[in-house]
Amino acid sequence: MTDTHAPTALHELTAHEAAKLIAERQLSPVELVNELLQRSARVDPQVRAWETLDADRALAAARSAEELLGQTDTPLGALHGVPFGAKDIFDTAALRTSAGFGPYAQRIPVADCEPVARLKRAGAILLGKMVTTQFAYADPPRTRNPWSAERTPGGSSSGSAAGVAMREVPLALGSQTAGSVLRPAAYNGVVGFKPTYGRVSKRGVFPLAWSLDHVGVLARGVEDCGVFLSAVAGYDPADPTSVSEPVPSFVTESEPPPPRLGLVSDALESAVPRVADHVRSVARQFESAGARVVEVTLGEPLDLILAVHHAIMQSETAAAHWQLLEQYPGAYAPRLRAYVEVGRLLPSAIYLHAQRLRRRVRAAMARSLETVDALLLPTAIDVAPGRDTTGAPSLQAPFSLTGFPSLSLPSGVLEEEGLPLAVQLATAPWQEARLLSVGRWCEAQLPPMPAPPLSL
Amino acid sequence: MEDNDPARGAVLEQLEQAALETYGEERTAEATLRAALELAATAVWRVAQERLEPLGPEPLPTHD
Repeated sequence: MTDTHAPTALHELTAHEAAKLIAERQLSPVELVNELLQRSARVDPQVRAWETLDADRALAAARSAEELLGQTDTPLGALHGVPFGAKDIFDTAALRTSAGFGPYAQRIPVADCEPVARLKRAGAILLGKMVTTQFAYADPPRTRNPWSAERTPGGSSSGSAAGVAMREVPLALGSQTAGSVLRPAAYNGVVGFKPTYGRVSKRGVFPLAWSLDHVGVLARGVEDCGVFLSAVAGYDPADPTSVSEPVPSFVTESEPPPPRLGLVSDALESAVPRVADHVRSVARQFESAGARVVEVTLGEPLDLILAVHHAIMQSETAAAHWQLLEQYPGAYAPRLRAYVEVGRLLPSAIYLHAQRLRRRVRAAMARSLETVDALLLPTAIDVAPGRDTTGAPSLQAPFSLTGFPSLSLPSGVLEEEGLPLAVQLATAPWQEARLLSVGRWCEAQLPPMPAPPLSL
Repeated sequence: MEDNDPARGAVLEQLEQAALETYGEERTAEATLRAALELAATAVWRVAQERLEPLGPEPLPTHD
């Protein structure tokens, strides 16, 4: 192994940068894992992103990865030797998976969930499990926001977002039922990506609301989202929500063209003025750089979209959790407990009516996308609020409801509060390649995101 | 304001009654449960406002 590294500090490497250096034998997986373990020991106490660090097994996997590098005829996976974290609702073989739930504190799965298994097959190394809100609902987590210890990191993929922002790991699995990947991404100044519903298997991932749950990723660049999706996408016959759709390449070297963007006026109206102004300013910047920007709407009123989402999510969460709640009433976090209890009272006709309306919402949103490559809107209605909440999902949930892929890009820092701002892109189902191409173009126009203060 | 809409008030009343019968007075009066009831009432009320004919979209599959 040579010792000629790129000048970038190892913890600053993105996943695809690290993979490239490793494949070129310029970087040792053992060295990278060691660096991230040491960095986590140093900086994690400030944010508490890790639930469980699996140092010994990660180092053993890194040593195996390094050995493979010596065998020149062995093909390497796209993420060979690259460390990743997984939200603690993703089952991991022989590694505690507790979902933030006390009675599961010592729950040790026998097998990896499918997304973790596929990442490992691509050569990635599991560094550990990251803090989730209990069962990926909305009770505030112990994790702090790396930009301000008094602000929420968002939820429910709290540890995944904070850990990636703190440069403890380049890539982390998250999940989104309402806004749990993209909102923490926005609050922590990192990239968050949720593919189309059905694109990624959820086998072995704790459910919150089956027809809304998505697997997603937190990263520090759009290209990493493509590498991630290439590794995990594809039909899984053992997951009834998995869809058999062709899987195109999500990684491309070519320069993306300026996109046609639909600036979502009703979403801007629901954001606070400083966020709406910021997103309008970003849209003008994109336009100056060659994008075509037109105003569109979501196709149905936002309050209806959110009501439909709420009725479906609360009914399904109640169905998933009521028996466990009866078994362990004292172990449930207060908001989740109340959500399940009230969810049990909702009429089944309302749930089915909401499911029918959902199809109308999907059709309307698809029409809004007919003449543009992607929708452009704020990721969140405001910057990260205080720690008594995980923030509002109102601008991420529409795409969890429709299952359309969505992407959050950090787009600046709000000067007066020193907190990250973000824009969201979304497109039609199964068009992740297009979304990531638009995302790469937009990312190139935006200023580089600085590291958060607590990471320095 | 939706909070003052009589139809929403009726939905909230129905949910509160169901909560009282299922969980009792003490639990129903707790702040987290009250908050969940309010949010659910708004969602149920708003969903119920939308008319769909029986021959309109079917509820499943959700992602076709």
